[in-house]
Parts: sequence; C-alpha cells; structure tokens
Amino acid sequence: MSQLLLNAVAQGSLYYLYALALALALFPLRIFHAALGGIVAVGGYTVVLLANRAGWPIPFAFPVAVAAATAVGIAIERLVYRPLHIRRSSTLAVAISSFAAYLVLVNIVAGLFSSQQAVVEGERTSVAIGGLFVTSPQLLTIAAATAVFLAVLVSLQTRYGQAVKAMEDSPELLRACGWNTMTIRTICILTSSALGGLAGCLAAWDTGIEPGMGMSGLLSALVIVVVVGAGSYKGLLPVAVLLALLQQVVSYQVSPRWESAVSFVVLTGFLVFKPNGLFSPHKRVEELV
Amino acid sequence: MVPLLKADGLTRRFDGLAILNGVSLEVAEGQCIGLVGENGCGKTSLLNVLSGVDRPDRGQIQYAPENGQMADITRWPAWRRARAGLLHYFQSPHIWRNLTVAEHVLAAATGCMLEGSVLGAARWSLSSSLRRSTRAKCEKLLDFVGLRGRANAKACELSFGQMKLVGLARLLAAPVRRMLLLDEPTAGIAPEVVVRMIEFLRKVRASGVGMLVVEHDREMLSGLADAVLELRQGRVVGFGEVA
Amino acid sequence: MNFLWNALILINIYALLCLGNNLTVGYAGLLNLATAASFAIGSYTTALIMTRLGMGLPMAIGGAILVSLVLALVIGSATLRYRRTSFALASLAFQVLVLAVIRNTEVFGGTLGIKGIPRPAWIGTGSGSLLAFWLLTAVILVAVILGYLGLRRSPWALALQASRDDELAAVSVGKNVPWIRVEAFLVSSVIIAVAGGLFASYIQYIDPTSFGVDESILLLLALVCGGTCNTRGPVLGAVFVIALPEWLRFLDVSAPYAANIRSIVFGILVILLMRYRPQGLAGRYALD
Repeated sequence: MSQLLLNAVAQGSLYYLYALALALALFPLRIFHAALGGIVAVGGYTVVLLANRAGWPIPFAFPVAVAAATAVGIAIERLVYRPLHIRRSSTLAVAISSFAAYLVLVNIVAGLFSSQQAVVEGERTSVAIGGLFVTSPQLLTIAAATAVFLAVLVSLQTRYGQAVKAMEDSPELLRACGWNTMTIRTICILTSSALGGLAGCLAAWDTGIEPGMGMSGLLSALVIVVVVGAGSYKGLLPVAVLLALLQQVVSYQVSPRWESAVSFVVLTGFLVFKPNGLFSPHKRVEELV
Repeated sequence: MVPLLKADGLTRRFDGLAILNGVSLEVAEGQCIGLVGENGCGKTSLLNVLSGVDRPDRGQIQYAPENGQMADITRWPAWRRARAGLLHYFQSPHIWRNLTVAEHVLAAATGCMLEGSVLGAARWSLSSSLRRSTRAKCEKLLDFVGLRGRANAKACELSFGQMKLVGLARLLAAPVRRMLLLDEPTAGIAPEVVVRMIEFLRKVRASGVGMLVVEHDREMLSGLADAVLELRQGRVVGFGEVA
Repeated sequence: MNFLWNALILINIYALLCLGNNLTVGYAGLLNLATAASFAIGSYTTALIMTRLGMGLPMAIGGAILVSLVLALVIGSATLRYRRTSFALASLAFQVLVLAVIRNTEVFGGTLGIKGIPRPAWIGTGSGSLLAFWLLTAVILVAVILGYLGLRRSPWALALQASRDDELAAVSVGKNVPWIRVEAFLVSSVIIAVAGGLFASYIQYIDPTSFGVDESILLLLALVCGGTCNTRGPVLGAVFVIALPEWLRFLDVSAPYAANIRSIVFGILVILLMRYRPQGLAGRYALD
C-alpha cells in the first residue's frame, strides 16, 4: 500500500510538471498549448540521443535536453503564437495551430527515431527506504517537482509573478501600467517549455518514452487543470498527486487497462458537476479559452 | 397600470465590490423609465441582470409574458427571456462578423422556436411563403434604419454607427416585443435616425410595451420617459418625474 | 488500378468525415476532438451488426446512426450547458473514454479489433467491385452535399454562425445556443457514423489504432486546411489527406516515412494557412 503511495507521489510529481507547463500557457496567455506534447517529446528524445548514442552522463544530458526543448518552445511562440496574437486571432485558430505544431514536432521526432520506445540506458540505482523501493529517477522527479513548487510559491510573491497572474484578467491594463506583455509572454512560454522538456527527460529516464507520450502527459495535465480551476497554481501539485494515486488504485483494484480512462471519467465529472474547479470560485477554465 | 417587470433586491457582487446593492424597481405596460447615474454606478449591470446575461447573487425578477401571469424569471436563461419578449439592446454593437446585414435581421426575425432548430430548417427549405414573408419583413426593417443599400455587406465592413443600426434592426425584428432594455440607444447614431427612432419608440410604448432606457441625454429622455430612476454605486437613490 | 480506386474510395469516406466535422467546427465554431471516436462508433457498430447479427450494410449503418445519436445526445446535453470550451474538453474526454472502452472490452475484439467484415453482397468480389463500392460512397456523399446545400441558408445555420461569432448577441435574439450546438453535434455524429460504416465494410478489418486522438487531430487539421462553411473546403481537405501520401509514393519516399512526412507537411501547411489565409484553401469562413 505504501509502495503504491510512493509510486503515486513519483508519478504525480511528473504530472505536476506537465500540468504547470500547460497552466503557464493556458491561464495567462489563453493558449490551448497542444504543442507542449511535442516539446515534451523533444526533451525526452534529446536526452536519449545524448545519453545513449553520444554517451553523455545524465547531469550533462539533462540540461542540454531541457535547453533544446525550451528553444523549440520559443520558436513556436515566435513563429506560431505571436503572429496570431498580434492579429488578435480567436482562441480556436490558436488551438488549431498548436495542434498543427504538435503534429509537426511529433512526426519529426518519430521520423528520426522510427516511432520506437526509447529509454535512457545506464545505471539506475534503487534505494530501499524502510521497506519501500524507490528508484533514482523517481527520487529526481519528486525532488524536481518539490523544487519547482517552491519556486512557484516564491515567484507568485514577486512583481513578475503578480504580473503573470494579472495577465489572466486584463493584459490591456497591464500594458497601460507600463509592463511589456510580450516579455511576459516569452517568459511564460519559456518556463512552460523548460518544464515540459524536464518532464520529458525524467520520463525518458524513468520508464521510457514513445512519440505519443507528450500527448498523454498533456491529457493528464488537462484533467488536473480543470479539476483545480482557472488561475490556481498552488493546487496543481496536490491534485496531480491525487490523480496519480487514483490511477494506481484503479490499476490495482480494477484493472491496469482502465488506468488512463480514469482521469477522463474524473474530467467529465468535473465538467458536469463542478466546472469551476476546486479552487476557483469565479472563473471556469472554459471562460479563459 | 398593469405590471410588466418587477425586480426585488437585486444584488450583484464582483470580487467583493457590490455592483448592484439591493436594487428594486417596477415597470408597467406602456411605461418608459429612464435610468440615469454616473458612469460605473451599475446601469449596464442592472440591464444585464434583468435580461439574463448575468445572474444576480441575490434578489428576484418577475415578468409577465404575453397572455400569462407574473412569473419568477430569475432562473430563466437569457434566450428564454428574449423569446418571451424581454429584449436587450447593448451599448456596444455585438455584431456577427461574418454575417451580412440582411442575415443579421433574418436571424433575429427567426429567433423563436421552430425555425431556430434543425427540424425548422427543413420546414424553412420547404415553405417558400414563410421565406418570402420573413424576408419582406426584414427588408422593411432595413428600410426603416436606412441600411437597405448595405444589405449584402458583411457586418465587419460597416462603420460604428451602421453597426449600431444593425443592432437596432435586430431588436426591431424580434417576433415578440413586450419589454425593452435599451442601453444608450441613441449613442453613435445619426440625428435624423435618432428622430425616427424616438418616434418609433413612442409608438411602441403606446402599444403597451414597457421600456427601461439608459440614457445620458436628459433632453431625449424628457421626450420619451414617464419617470426617471437614479442609481449611485449600485443603489437606487432617486425615483421621480423627469426633471 | 486497384490502388487508384482505393484512394478514390477513401477520399469519399474522408470527405464525409470532413463534411460532418464542418458543422461542429465551421458553423458552430467548436473545437471538436472526438471525430475519430464518432468514426469508431460508426465503424464498430456496423462491424458488429454485420458480423454478429449477419445483417446487411443498410441495417448496420442504420444501427450505427442510432447508437451515435444516443451517445452524442448524452455527451452533448451533459456538457454543452456551459461555455464553448467545455465542449472541447468534453469531446476530448469522449474520445479517450470511447477508445478505452473499445480497446478493453472483448465484444469489440480489444486491441485485435474485428475482422472479416463483409462487403455488401451486390458489390461482389470481381473486377468491378471497387468501382461499385466507389459508386456507393459517391451516392452517399452527393446526398450529404445536397443536404448541406439545403441547410446552408436556413435559420438554423444562421443561428449556429451567430452563436459562433457573438454568443451574447445570439442569446439576446432568442437563440437557445446550448441546444443548437447539441443539434450540430448530433447531425455531425450521424454523418461521421455513416462514414464509419462505409469504412468498416470497405476495409473489412478494423482495430483501435485507426481511431485515436492523433486521428482526430489529423481530421480536424484536414478540415481546416481545406476550409470550412462550404462544401468545397471539406472535400478538398479530404483529397489532401489521402492524396498526399500517394504522391509521396510516386516520389519514391519509403512507406514508413510517408506517413510522417504527410503529417509534417500538413502541420506546416495549416500553420501557414492560419497565419496568412485563415479560410483555408477553399473555405468560406475565415477562422479568425
């Protein structure tokens, strides 16, 4: 049982990174960031390329892979999102372009790696703590999620953090107060892509990746974001862990086959009964996009 | 005086600020009440709550639909209120970018029930007399607002004043008209048309339609309204004859 | 020669898919990610009725229409009460859940799918059979197109477009926006289910891999690429989706890469179109 809990915490930590990456594009910028799925894949496959084929050690491969993912994210912001933003396109047009970017990224990755599952080779230590087993990838994931969560808590207190929150309500007002909203946009996408890339790396080291993993991560992220509600960043981690826990429980009690479907039953339930999410009484996720 | 619309204790809070604070009013058939107050005092919010675009946090709204008794419509969605004749004319044009002027009026004229649904679509295709009569009605409306020449222009190509006229034509095209909520109806409209509009509103009022008009122009109000309701910071601070 | 008929038949089927999606995405302006799931419902229902119950194609497609209507009604009514993007999320949930059920339930053959789906008896198996099947799909396609042309100027279509362009104004003229969106989704689902039935009978073997989220995305992009709110756009989009890998084959690109390259070209094309020509190649409505 506690092993289950531990696995859930590790898996939930990974989900948290996906969810925060999505939330950073969705809440302040109103972008249905489907391309994130591709960015995650770029991160994961880059780390596989560096670690397996080029033989780099993990501490060097990770940052470079995250940097690569971030670069791709910035490129997408410049080439896809920004022109549409300048033209004040509808969120539907942006979402469609995002899906198109996802398709391009995923197929480039799949073409280069021939759609196979890939795993970072090399030693993974398994530590035993009081009868429970935890692998080093899991430890790193939990550590990363905790660090990111704390960073978010701190950032929300800074001026920049508050500006990002203000973007949700009124970018025009921000601009009138002298903020450069383009810079804020870049920062949000940059952070979002870095988190996505990191998630890809961690997944590649932990259980392995395949080109569509970014999309499944994104789907879990969507569920978490809807459950949490619009604009709430702090609730993302606990809900992510709870979702992972729910999936583990279903997997053991019912059947592993229904594990991924569970999140969508949860999503549907919230859409019908509690569309505002748990932590956002006034706004709904739907109202943003 | 037959009551048409009654509101009791409407309260609307947003982020802790009370935009509407216990507003009550009553409009009778054929009565026109002007709504005045400084900017931000809650006039538009009041209209939004009355028409269903927004929901009050507290309070009750009652309305008497055609051939019916006073009903509690607080929970009615906006489209249902519109079909029952409670119409809202917005301050900003709210046009449909990709539709032509003629299509705007047609869409409003076929607002009700059957024509609006997919089954009604079949009936529309099959009944040429229905199409003809509705189109004729729409053309008359376009003549009235002076947009006949631009009937086939896409709404996004119009000037601001013309967009407001389209909104007006839309309002006039409604099949059922019992209570009008008008938010600065004359703003942005050319003087000749304003004269005709006021003429038309007087006629409509005489036929028993109630009106609640937000208007800064006191002169225009004095020609049309029977009484004036003044709001300040979400509260009613005055009700009386037109000054 | 067979290869040409294959492409033509698939073009017709995908044209039906795009035309169906056109109502939800183009006219109603909703982000629909459940196209592949509706397609699957049509295919699997038809396959089961034909293989397990031994009925013919018309009955099977009739059954598929019924099933998809019921499911679309359930999904639509539950979530379309709220704003527009709850539809996108709900359609995504629908897509994932339907596929999970199909993949994990024995009656649908699980991951192995259903094989041995027969073609209609009158089509036969001889040299003219593909032409005959193509004619069948063409007749249905023409019927749907005629239906479209009839509905296009109706108040219902206007109401949908109004709800897309400015929902507030649409509601203020009495349009029951949530309900007409459900109707759009219902009609879409029916057309897509019919396409699913034709697909199952043509290809004679179906499995879950053809109906995933990626397929939904591809269909959405195909529609947008061709253009929305008319009949030319969706058909052109279908032609693109099917024809592109075939052209690539002529260019001697080896098979596994053809699918990747098709998707990459598509994706880039859609990004460029959204930026420079949001009405797509031949559409009437600029997605903007």
